[in-house]
This record gives sequence, C-alpha cells and structure tokens, in this order.
Amino acid sequence: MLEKSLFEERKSRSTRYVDPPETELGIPENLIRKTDLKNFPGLSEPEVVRHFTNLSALNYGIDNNFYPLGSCSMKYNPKINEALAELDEFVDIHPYMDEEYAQGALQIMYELERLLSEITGMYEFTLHPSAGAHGELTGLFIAKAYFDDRKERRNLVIVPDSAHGTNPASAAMAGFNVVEVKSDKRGLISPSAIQPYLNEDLALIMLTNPNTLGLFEEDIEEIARLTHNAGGLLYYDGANLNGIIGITRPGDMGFDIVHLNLHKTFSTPHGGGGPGSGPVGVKEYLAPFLPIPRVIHSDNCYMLDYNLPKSIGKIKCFYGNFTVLVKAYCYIRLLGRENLRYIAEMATLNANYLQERLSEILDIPYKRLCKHEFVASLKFLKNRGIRALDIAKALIDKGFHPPTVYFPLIVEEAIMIEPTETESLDTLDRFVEALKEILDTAESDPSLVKESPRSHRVKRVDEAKASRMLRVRW
Amino acid sequence: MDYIPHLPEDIRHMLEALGLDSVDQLFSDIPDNLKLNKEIDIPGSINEIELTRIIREISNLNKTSEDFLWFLGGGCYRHFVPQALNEISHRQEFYTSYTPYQAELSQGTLQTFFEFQTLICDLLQMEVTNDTMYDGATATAEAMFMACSITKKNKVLVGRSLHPEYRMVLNTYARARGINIVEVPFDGDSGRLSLESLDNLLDDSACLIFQTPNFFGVIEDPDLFEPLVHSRDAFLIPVIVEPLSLALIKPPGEYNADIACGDLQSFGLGMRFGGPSAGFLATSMKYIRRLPGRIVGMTEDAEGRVSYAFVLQTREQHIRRASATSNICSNEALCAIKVAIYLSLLGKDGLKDLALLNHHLADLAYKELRSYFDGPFFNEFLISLDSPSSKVRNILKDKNILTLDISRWYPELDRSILVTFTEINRKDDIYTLIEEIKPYVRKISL
Repeated sequence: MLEKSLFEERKSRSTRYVDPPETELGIPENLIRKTDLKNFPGLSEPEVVRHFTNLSALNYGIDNNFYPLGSCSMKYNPKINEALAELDEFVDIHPYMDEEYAQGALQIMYELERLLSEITGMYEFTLHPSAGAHGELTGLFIAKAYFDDRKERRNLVIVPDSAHGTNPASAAMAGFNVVEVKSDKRGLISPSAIQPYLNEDLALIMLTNPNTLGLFEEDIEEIARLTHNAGGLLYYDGANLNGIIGITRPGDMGFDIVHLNLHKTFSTPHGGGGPGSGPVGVKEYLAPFLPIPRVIHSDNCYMLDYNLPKSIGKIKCFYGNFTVLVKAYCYIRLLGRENLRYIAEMATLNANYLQERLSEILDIPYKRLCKHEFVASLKFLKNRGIRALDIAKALIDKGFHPPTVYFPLIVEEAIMIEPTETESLDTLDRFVEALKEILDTAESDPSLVKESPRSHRVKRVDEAKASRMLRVRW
Repeated sequence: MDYIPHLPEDIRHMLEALGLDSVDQLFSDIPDNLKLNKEIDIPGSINEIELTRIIREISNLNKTSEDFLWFLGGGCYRHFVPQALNEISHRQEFYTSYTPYQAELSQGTLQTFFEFQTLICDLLQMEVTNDTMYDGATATAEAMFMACSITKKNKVLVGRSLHPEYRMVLNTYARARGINIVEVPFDGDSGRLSLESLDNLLDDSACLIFQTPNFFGVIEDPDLFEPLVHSRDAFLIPVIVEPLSLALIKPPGEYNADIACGDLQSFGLGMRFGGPSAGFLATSMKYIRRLPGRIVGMTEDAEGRVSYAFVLQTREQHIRRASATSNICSNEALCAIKVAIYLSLLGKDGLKDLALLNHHLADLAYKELRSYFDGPFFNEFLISLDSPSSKVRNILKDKNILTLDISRWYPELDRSILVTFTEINRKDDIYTLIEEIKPYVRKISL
C-alpha cells in the first residue's frame, strides 16, 4: 500500500462546514434520494489534507526535475501567473453578470485574442475551446460550416501518418472521412503524397509544423498552394508551436485554421491532463463562422456579441476556460516581444544539442536539423529483449520523467524527446549521462533494466492487469 | 522577464557541439520568405512587479459577487470553496504534471482519479464514470453521440427545459454528424417535461436528454416517463447541472438512467466567468467500452502493492485514431482532483447538510413569493411577475441585486425571473430580495 485508500474503514469526527437547518423538507417523498452515499468518507479536515498531500507526493511535477515529454512542451510554469489567475476578481465572477461588471475579464479575452492573432499571423481567434482536441473539433466544425455556406460537399480530411492521434479522431468525430498519407524518407510530407487527393472531395489537410518528428515541413508553401487550388483548407495543429514561435507564423505559411495549446507553448500548467485551452484562429473569410459570443470593443467598452448569423454556434458553455486564459495572457505579457523568439531559439538549441549528444548512443532515424523535439528509435535493443518502455522506466530510477514512448507511430520503438527552453545545459548533460548508464546496464545486465524502476518508491505497475480486472471504483 | 537559464558561454558551447556559428543557423530549414523579418508586434517584456500592477488594474475593473446581493445562478453557482481544497490542489505535484501515462510517477493523480470515480459513481448510483469531460454541455454532447452509436438511431429528443447553452452545444455537435434534434416542450403549469408530447415524439428516438432540476429549477419525476422511454428502446439521459441536488434528490441510478451527465462546477471549482469547470459522463459497465475519456482501474505494482493505471486505452485517440470513441485527450483533470478533495472534505453528512441548507434558503423566499411553475424545486426557481422580466431585473440591478432574466432564451417566459440560493446567501439578504421584488410579483388572485 502506497497511500491508504480514502474508502478504507476508518471513522473520525468529520469537520462540519455548515450547520444544517432545522426545518421540514419541502420536496415530495417520491423524489427523495433512497440510496446512501455509502462510500463517502466521514473524516476530519486534517485527515483529508494529509491523505491528498501524501498522494501528491506520489506524483512527479516540473518543479521536481526534467520532464522531456515529446509534443507536450513541459516547460516551467511561472508561479506569478498562478497567483494572478486566482485573484477574487477573476474567480468570483459569473458568466451572466452584466458586461459592465466584467470589463476586466472581457479586456483580457479581447487582448489575448489580438496577441494570439499577431503571434500566429491569423485574423481572429476564439478562446472557447477547452483543449487542443476541442480546438481541432471547433476548427473542423468551422470548415464544415464554410463549405456548407458555399454549397460544397467536401468529405475528405488528410492527415500524415506521423500526426497526433487527435487529428484523425477529431476529423472522424466531425463527420469527415480520414485518409492517412505517408511521410517520405526525410520524415516530411511531400507534395506528391497529397497529389492523389487533390479533388473536389478534399476538405482539409491537417498538419503539425514542426511535425511530430520535430522537423519543419519544408514544402509547406507548395502544399498550401496545392490544397488551396483544389479548394481545400489547411489546418494547423499548434501543439508544436514552441519550436517556431517568433521565427515564422502559421498564417504566413498559408494555414487557414490554427489551434494553439495554451497549456503547452504558453505555459499554463497541464494540471495532470487539464484544464487546458485550445484557442482557434482563422483567416478573415472564416471569421463569420467562429463560435458565439465574440468579444468586441466599441465606445471604450467591451461587449459580448451574439449577432453572428453564420456562426457554428456554441462548442461549450459560456466563454472558455477563463482563468487558464488569464495565465496565458500573463505569460505573453511577461515575456513580451523580445522573448517569444528567444523561446523558440533556446528550445531548438536544447533539442539539437540533446539530439547531437544522444546520436552517439541512440539511433536517430531522421537525423537532421530538428526544431523543439526529436525522435530516437530503440529498435537496436530489441535483440537484448529490451523495449522502449523499459528504458523509460529505467529513467525513473535516475530521477527523470521519461520521454514520450511509442509515438510517432512511424518510428519503431520510438522515444520522443522535447527538452523545452527552460532546461539548463547541466540538466541536459545529466540526462545524457543517465541514458548512457542505462544503456551500459542494458548491455551488461539487461534484466536489471527490464525490472526497472527498482529503486523508485513505486515499482512497475501492471497496466494490463488493470484493464483485465476493470475495477473502476471502490 | 523570461525563465531561460542559458549563460552566453552555454550557448556557445552548445552551438560548437553542433558545428554551428549562430543560433540563426538552427532555423536554416525554414524558407527565408516565411521567416518573420521583424519582431512580433506585441508589447515588450515586463517584470513581475509591472505585471502584477497591470493585472490588478485590469482585474479591478471586474466586480465580484461580494459587491452584490447575489441570486444569480442558471448553470453556474456561487458555492463555498474550503481553503484546504485551494491549498492541496495548488501543490505543484498535482498542477504541473502531465496526463498520468507513466503510472509509476503518477500514483497521486491516478489514485485521486479512482477516488473521484468512486465518489461520483456513488453520488449518481451509476456503475462507471470517466475522469471528466470539458464541461457539462460537452459531456451531454458525448452522451448524445454514445446513445446514437449504441442504438444506431439518429433522432434525439431534448427537453426545452435543458440549459439553453447546452442545447446550443448539442445543436453544433449534432449538425456536423447529421443528427436530428427534436425539442420536447415543457408543461406550462408544472414546468416539467410535457409527457403527452414526449409520447408523441418518442418513435425512432435514440434517447431523451432532459435536465433535472431543470433550467427553471424544477425537479423532474423521471419515474413518470422512464418506462415510456425504455419501452421504445431509447436511452434515458438525465443532465445534472447542479450536482449538489443529488445529496437530496433521486440520483440517475435510482430511475434506470442509461447514461448520466452534467457539470461539477458546484463542487469547489468556483465560478471563474464560466470556466474551467468539469463535465461528468457515467454509464453502466456494459457500455464501458463506448465511454469516451480516461478511466482509471485498480491494479498492483511489481511488489504486489495496490496501485492504479488507466484502463481500456484502446478506446482512445492516441491508439485508435480515427476509430476512437472520441477525440478527447486533455480533459479537466485538476478539476477532478478538486472535486475529489471537495467531496472528501464535505463527507457524507456535510454534503447532505449543505444541500438541505441550499434548499432551505430557497424555500424561505419561495414561501413569500409566487413561483411561476408549481413543480418542486431544489435551490432555484422562477418567480412569477406581473411586469416584463427585463424591467424587473433592471430595477433589482439598480438596487444591487443580481437575478437572471431568462426571457432572452425563452420569450414565452417574459413575465418571470430566475433566482438562485446557496449557502453563501445571508437570510437578511433574502429578506431584502423579497421586499424589493414583492411589488412586481404576480398577484395570486389573477
């Protein structure tokens, strides 16, 4: 037992936060709850605080050490942003308050939309989507509404075989047919790969640039030209913006729709898997289709505008994950125009340095100049019975969070490494040394690697058993 | 200000290792004509002191609920948040970590998710829940997709008394997939679903989606229509927007709901101008493989100790891609953690007391004012007026009393106003509300 379950038999005097009223209940008997809340604990506040504090100690955060998860941009989350987003004036406000009482909130949203538009070279942004995948869905709904408006029936969405899984999943969810095209020897999408699909059925091509191998799609202008000539739209998955921010802009590359992950590039924390935020930017001709309401500014006043007849409507309640937006706004203001480019420069320098150093000991199938991340293959260890997952777990014993493993799918035994700009040279060198030691052990005593983590508090967790047992509640 | 640790000599050293002369050369793979030849046109860098000053200037333009006599609800509720919750959920181990794919480094998040699942299943009396959706509205949209896909039907019944923004979200999602949404009207006296209309509309429907307590605050009696819905092979899908109500009133599992969904904002998440909150989506074990999102299961580590991991990931986008149950990846994990902490702090008795108190405060006002509908309520209800809603709302607003005029979504209810009561309302404030609104309340004799 690592930390006792909340539900194990123990009783104490629970802390009471309110006094119950001593009145009759005015709700008819047949509507009243019959079942007991049998698993709800009755514990005092100090016990509950200890339980969750002890649980948190079983986690690993960015403040512990290096967190090189590929395509996740696990950078440092500035503490000041957390504090400012939690101001009462941001937390204790209601979406249906009169606009005159929420001018500050609306100003942040309005200005953030403008900042993101400028950073990406897009015309307008919506801040409503709650996550990257939600942004994708929103972008695809917008594309669908646009084609409907033009009385065109286009059903096909192209994604590369290196794409994030959310791309094909979102396209299918929005009712499109999906085709995956192969990356070429360079690890890129070549114009010839999309050639067969350039017809009146083509709706969108979804690309991540830099792609999930960390490589810049060098033919992007030609791909944009071909897509547009065929009447299709180009969609930008912004998960990897960290590698090019301030250097080049998706809008200038020819993308029509862009989503960003504020919890990646703009350092609002990941929260263990959300709340995130996935704003969507569009070119001018797609702006009429954005979700309602829009934040507008006139006569020195910010207002919510619902009058957008071609809008796709709403994609979530209210206006987005507002306090996440506050953090992204703070981050952009803090770093400012001078430092956005510096992010991409140092993120890219870190990734290339790490790639170079690791290329001595790992196989890097697409070895070329990378951007914010790169992918190595651990296929060469297979004959020793060691898999990428084992190396990942061995890194835990060395005090590091493992990189992303088994993605992208086009690299066998992939490990995908994204150091981000907030890591020092010393950290990168320590990571290289740790990997070297692990590979030495893999050579001398592979069973030790396969049994890892060994010194860490939690040993290898049997995930297959979890799915077999399917015990999903106490 | 930035958080980049590189010394100039570090940069030189790293470039040397790469055989490069300058940082610019790192971007030689980007065509020159695509490169920005200028700085991005945004404000310059500032430090923490300046940022704090700027943000405070902006935040001070907002008023908070403390500035008003507050009776505003309608899907976003002003509830008390224990300070212990704020404190624990702000531990960096929780808020800076990624989705817990590496179970050995994530037992904190994973066990908390498991406890969240247990508490939510208990509250709902459902067999399985995932670890949140973006919000109640998107959870409802996913429930609609699940129902259509399992029943292989394309028509969906939605109560008109479902939160208008939820209905708008359903419309957006349905349109893209060619799903046909049909509205079920509410009964003009009780404010509940019109059973007669429901009976007429049910044929060929995949599901009935209804809110309880509904947008007017009225508690539905699902026992009245559950047999009818199931007799036509349709799914019964309750939407719970005020989950605190479930400490008192019948949970979905007690009336054979097939899928239950809704929002958890009331459980310690704060109002936050509408987000982030978290949606929940629960069903029975036979549909677990159709459920979108993350689910945690119990297992053990190599030394046989109880531990936790994600289960059935083959449903998800990162494995199944275009055939996944949903595209959802990031959800509202930290909100799930907060909800688990909240429900643990409140505990069984605390949650019930809180729900009773909410109902009791609403009942104080209800006894003095005329309700528009005669159906039972939990902590909000529509007051019947003899003047236009917008006029009364503005009169109250001038007295610093905030209420919700719902006639912008329901033109037919333009002689009513929605008032909501929670544990934060003081009795004196409620008496003030009663006094101020009484002149505009519709007279019983009419």
